[in-house]
Amino acid sequence: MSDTDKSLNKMDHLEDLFAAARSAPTELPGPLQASLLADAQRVQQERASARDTASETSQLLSSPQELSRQIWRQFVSAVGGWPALGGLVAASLSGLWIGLAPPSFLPDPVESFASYSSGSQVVSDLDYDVSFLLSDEVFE
Amino acid sequence: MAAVGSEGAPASDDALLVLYANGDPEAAAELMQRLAPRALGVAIRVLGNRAEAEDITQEAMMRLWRMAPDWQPGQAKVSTWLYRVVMNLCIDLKRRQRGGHVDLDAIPDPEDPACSAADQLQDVARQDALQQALMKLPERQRQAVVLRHIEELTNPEISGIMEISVEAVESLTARGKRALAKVLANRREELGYSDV
Repeated sequence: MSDTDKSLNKMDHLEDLFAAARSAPTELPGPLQASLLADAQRVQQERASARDTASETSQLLSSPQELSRQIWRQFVSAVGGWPALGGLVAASLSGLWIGLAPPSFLPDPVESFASYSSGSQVVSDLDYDVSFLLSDEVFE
Repeated sequence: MAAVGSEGAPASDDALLVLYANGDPEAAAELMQRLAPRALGVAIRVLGNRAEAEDITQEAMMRLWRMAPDWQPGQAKVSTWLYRVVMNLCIDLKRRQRGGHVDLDAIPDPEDPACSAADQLQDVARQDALQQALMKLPERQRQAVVLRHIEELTNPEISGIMEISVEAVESLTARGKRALAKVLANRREELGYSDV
């Protein structure tokens, strides 16, 4: 047998080995299959939730009324719900009323403020030390 | 049903990937059954280590799932894309294991295994012998031979996967086959072949 024939014969053996390799498909182990499917499902779920979020956002942006309702709902929720919001409104109105029309036993803040004739008087009422320091330099 | 197309023919990999991207749960299972064994087979042949090959397969399939929404049907074959990812992951792994840079263009001639193959390998099946012979090839030759002769891809497909010219693929596979024949020459009788 010549060298060329021997070489061709070697290649024939190789083709047999390749054919045998092709005819023996690789089996996926069960744990690997499970991992691959779990990965696939996780990626699918991540994408679905991202899609939902994007859809909600686009709905909000496309409707200003819905956006303002959403902001109002979030505000009410942050304050503590409707009962808490009612209490907050009542307290605010009471404070405003007391400020504008105080009971007789309380000093009237509006009147006392209006009675000041100059800035130095306001400062002197606030703090003796401050008025002492400023009186010579600023209000001469 | 995900695996069947509109006219009863099996859905293409392209179509399955689009279905998967649109949330079809069956498409993932079908794609996995079609593609993962091929990815695993190639990785085992190239790496010679089943555990590492399984890790590579999982990573490659994960990249497939993440890439699905961006896939452009008809532009390339999904299997070719996956082969390329597997090959690149194998190269990266080998590079990390060697702890340094691997010059992919430097493909040395295979060493003469005449004195070691017959002594080291006894009572093994032909497939084991082929795998051991493959592992003696330089990495790029091994990849080219596996893709050409075991996965039966065309030279242009391999060219795309390995990002080299078709002529380079032809050269790699030819040299790889010669080297394999040389490696296995001393084992012909053991493997049940004869010269006559």
